[in-house]
Amino acid sequence: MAKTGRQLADENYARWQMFYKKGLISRRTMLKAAMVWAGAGTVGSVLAACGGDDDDDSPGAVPTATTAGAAPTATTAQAAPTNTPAAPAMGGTLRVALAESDLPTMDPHMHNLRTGIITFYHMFDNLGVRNQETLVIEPWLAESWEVVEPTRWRMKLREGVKFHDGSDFTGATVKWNWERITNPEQKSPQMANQAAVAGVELIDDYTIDVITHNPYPIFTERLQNFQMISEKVAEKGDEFLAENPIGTGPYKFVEWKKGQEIVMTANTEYWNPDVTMAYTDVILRIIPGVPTQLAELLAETVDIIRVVPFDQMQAVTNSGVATPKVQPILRVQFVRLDAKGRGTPDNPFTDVRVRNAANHALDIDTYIETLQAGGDRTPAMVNPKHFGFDPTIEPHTYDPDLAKQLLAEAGYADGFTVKWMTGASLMPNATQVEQAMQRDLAAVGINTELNYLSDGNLFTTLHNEGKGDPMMSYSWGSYSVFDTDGIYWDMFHSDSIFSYYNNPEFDALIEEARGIMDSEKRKELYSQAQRIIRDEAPVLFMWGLHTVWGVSNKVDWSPAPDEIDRYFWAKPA
Amino acid sequence: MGAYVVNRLIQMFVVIVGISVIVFVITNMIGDPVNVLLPPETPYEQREIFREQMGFNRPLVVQYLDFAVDAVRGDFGNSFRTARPATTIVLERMPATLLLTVSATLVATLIAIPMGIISAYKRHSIWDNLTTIFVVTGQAMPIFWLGLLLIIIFGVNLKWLPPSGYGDFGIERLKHLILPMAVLGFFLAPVTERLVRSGMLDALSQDYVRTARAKGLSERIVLFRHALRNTIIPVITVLGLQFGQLLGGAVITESVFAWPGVGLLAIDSIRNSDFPVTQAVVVILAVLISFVNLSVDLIVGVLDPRIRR
Amino acid sequence: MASVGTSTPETTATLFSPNRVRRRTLRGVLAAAWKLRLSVAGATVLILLILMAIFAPLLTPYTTNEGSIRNRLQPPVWQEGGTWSHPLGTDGIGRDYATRLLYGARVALAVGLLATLISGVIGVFFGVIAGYFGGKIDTLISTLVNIMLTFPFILLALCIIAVLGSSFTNVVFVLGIGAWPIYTRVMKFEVERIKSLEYMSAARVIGLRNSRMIWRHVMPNLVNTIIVLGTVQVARLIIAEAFLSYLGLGIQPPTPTWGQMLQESIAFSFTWSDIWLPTLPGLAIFITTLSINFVGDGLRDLIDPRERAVL
Repeated sequence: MAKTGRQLADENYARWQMFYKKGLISRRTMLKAAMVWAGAGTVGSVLAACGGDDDDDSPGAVPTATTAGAAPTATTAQAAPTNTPAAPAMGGTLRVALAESDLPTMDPHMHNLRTGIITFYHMFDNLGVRNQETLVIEPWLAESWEVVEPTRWRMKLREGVKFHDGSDFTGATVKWNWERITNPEQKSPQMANQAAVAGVELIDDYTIDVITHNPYPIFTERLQNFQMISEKVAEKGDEFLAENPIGTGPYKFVEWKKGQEIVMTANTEYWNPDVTMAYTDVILRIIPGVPTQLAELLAETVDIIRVVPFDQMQAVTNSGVATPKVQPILRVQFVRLDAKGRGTPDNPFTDVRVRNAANHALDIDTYIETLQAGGDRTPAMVNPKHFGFDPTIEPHTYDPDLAKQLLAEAGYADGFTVKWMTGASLMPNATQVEQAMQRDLAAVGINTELNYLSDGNLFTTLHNEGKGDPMMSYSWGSYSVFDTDGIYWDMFHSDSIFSYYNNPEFDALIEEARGIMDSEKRKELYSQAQRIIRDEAPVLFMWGLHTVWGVSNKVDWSPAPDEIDRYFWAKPA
Repeated sequence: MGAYVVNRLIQMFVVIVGISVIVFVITNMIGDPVNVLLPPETPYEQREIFREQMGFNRPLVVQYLDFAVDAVRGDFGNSFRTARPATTIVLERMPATLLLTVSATLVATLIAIPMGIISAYKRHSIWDNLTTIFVVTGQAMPIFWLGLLLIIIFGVNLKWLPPSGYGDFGIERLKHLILPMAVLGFFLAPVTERLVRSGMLDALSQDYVRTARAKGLSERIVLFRHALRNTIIPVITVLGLQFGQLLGGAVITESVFAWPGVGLLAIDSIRNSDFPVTQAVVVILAVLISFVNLSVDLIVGVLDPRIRR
Repeated sequence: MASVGTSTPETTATLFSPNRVRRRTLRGVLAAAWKLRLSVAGATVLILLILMAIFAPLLTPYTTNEGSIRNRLQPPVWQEGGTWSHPLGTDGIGRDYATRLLYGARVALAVGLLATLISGVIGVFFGVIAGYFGGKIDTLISTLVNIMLTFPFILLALCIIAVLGSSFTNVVFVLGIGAWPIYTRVMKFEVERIKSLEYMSAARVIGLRNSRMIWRHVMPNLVNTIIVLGTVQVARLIIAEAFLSYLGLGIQPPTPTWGQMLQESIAFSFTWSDIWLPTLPGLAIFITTLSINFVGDGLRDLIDPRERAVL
């Protein structure tokens, strides 16, 4: 049965209730969840708008035209997110633990790390940002945008915005930024995000035209993780930029103690009066170990940590000093199967029956229930949060007998043994989930040897060069693009270096969907594509992750579905 | 003495060259620098062009010589990850590691010497057994777990000390230092204690000690003047040799306590295939360890001319 | 980890080989046992451990990987809700914790012994060659040893495992590779000492071949030292495996190893009622290495003449 956004929200709400009963979350968190649930109509309406599946009881429905990737009409700046605080006095310090090793640079264009995105989100601004309730990208440094031709977006920019050094933000700034990031010589790891952009034309000081190579329906999705650097500051050279983040953001850079912390202080002259920072200073501390982070949270020496292990949620709640906060995110977890025989020619998974058998061997619902703080099933890899998600597609059932039967049909009645490459994971409880899966696969005759690579780059190298094992643990955050294109193109298109799957029919569908602006038509194409992926099962389908943040009870703050923490909304509880 | 020093310097040079070869070969086996430097979406042709531009397609021997020539001048190239000079990155992390390792060594020595003496003097007594248990615990307890337990006890429950981090210069830094220093010191103490104990046992059975005792010298003088003095030389030698081991313990300690030292940097650089930094860490540490060993040997040589053969 | 590959001072300082005749009166034995009470206790624990490892399948009705995730994190029998069907509770995916600890003993001892064997063979070989022949061979081997001792072992292990991946074989291999220099160091000195003994010159005068000399006259004198050194190394390598697990480089799941069990459950240290999860494997590592160390101490005492003198 099709799951609408409303139903999904209901399911999530039920889960939160369960957590509350188990004592995993506090009453306050529970109330918050209730509010989100009550407002879920908003999310529902996005899905409804996409699906034409009307959802009348949605309060505060947004204009359908602003849904991701649609927007052929003009969109004007709306008020900043609705949780506008009641302008308290500023003061104090917010301390946040970043799990990564140190950031590589202070240049927002020269990294591809989640923690980098978060850090620079505070010191810099983006042209558009995602509304946390509607999940739609809305203007920010841009004032409005419209499609004037299929490949030409006209953008009106906000006037009077100044960088922290006093220089002005103008059309020339935006043009310079796009030219920098798309310049192959610059070697920005984010280049691919902006690859659709062919160039920028200045109309006047605060009006620009962005030209795309082809019609590009998800253009606005690319506006969020693209921070604006001052072109005047940049004259001092890349080395200066790598040490001195001078942006327009709500917080100003103070100090970067390498390997230790990044210190920021509130920008009292911030252009957006709706953003009222409650904390004068924000310190981002680099703490590599999760247990150590947990200790810091419980010792009240850190206010927010980004990872709470599932089994320690109770301990955090019981401590009375902090609360675990569960947040569904866009990232999709799965195990890639070498369906193409790219790494291991003639491996068992080149047979579609074996791939389906493996999927039927897994008791996904139980994993989510027992080992995860929650998860949204992804029957065809697409997250319900992605534009184009087809809720009518049924996930694989847990059916070991069917799995054995399929294996026997494929000539593997006695089973087989394959290698399974894995590494550091963003999924909570990853080792346990993988071992549970391993056990269930073995029960139908698919024996796996886990091969843990601690070197993330080695994993990426092997994976991308097509030298991966027949099974590879993987997750994909879609570069925070809330559109099916964000996951299908990179993961499955036969041209993508990530892909271990080849299906011309599927390729044609997503190519067409990428190049048209009609959102209804796109949705239909993605629906067809999802049916193919569901039946061909090029991966072991898992779920959209729900991750757990730990927040001090002295701080009133909630994480965001796009995994970009916005600490400027934090205020004392 | 001059010839001895020259000889030792040559030895040191050979060791460092050997280490640089090993680390160079291994890092190049781990991964392809092109994949680290270019975004994953880069097409194959562009990768190959880049490979040629950067000289990554040349024979490994040629690349090594290139690397060695620069390395001698202290240039290990720029970090793949941060584009900053690898040498600078390693050196700015060095003070934290030195602070931790030196203070831990001090703590270990301060614990180990008295314990070793008691243990040898009161052999097979309950004191001997207790010190043995205490000392073996240091090596039998996985320090990453011990570290976390101390963090939980002193950082979370009692709130006496900060759980992790480096702190600002001054009192704060010292507060942050206590726990990691204790953990690493506890890990190091056993070796020194065993050494002092056996050295003392050895000395106590020697003729000159018997003579001293026969002369009616007080036990204190016998112990500290005669026996300990002869024990201290091997202790110093081993403290020097231990430096490599110390750094191994430091890697774990730093990662548990988020201590921004070289050990943590090394783990990160290996995990991120950041070859220039990995190479710089290993070679610079090797130079450091070699110099420590050399100076220890020289000190010992001055103390005890018999060593210089 | 770091403990691998550096010299144990005591062994270098006080080891020697020729065995003397022991007084074998009951009283003497008892007195000796009392003096060496820690070692006797250690040996007892160790023998128990070995028996448990060997007979693990008879001691538990479960296998290491069976269970249901619905049955996860059952408390041990002494806590509320614990049952005798899982006396030490279950782990995060419902496997019997006692079973995994038992089989973990197998893995720990196997890793310790095999890696010690590898490093021992390599180390003794190099040490004997260097000590016996001296000269250029000695210089070459000594340089190699210095390189190994100067290269922080943990970094070497990280690099090698990053290249090879972490299977049981690779972990044993890496540990073996890391730990050999200590034998070479000790053996070299021992061989040099033995070589200077009179009967060796006599044998050389008779014209015995080198290989015969080494096998007949040098090796027998090294056995004691090797045994003492090896015993302590087993303990160090068990700890070393735990360190590798901590860094995610240890033996892969679902093989039960203590290091990995500790690493997986370490965050449970925050809750008093859950602390048994990290404590049990932690204790297993601790007790095993402690016992081995005590046994090593005892062995050393027994074959050390000065210690004997005091006995």
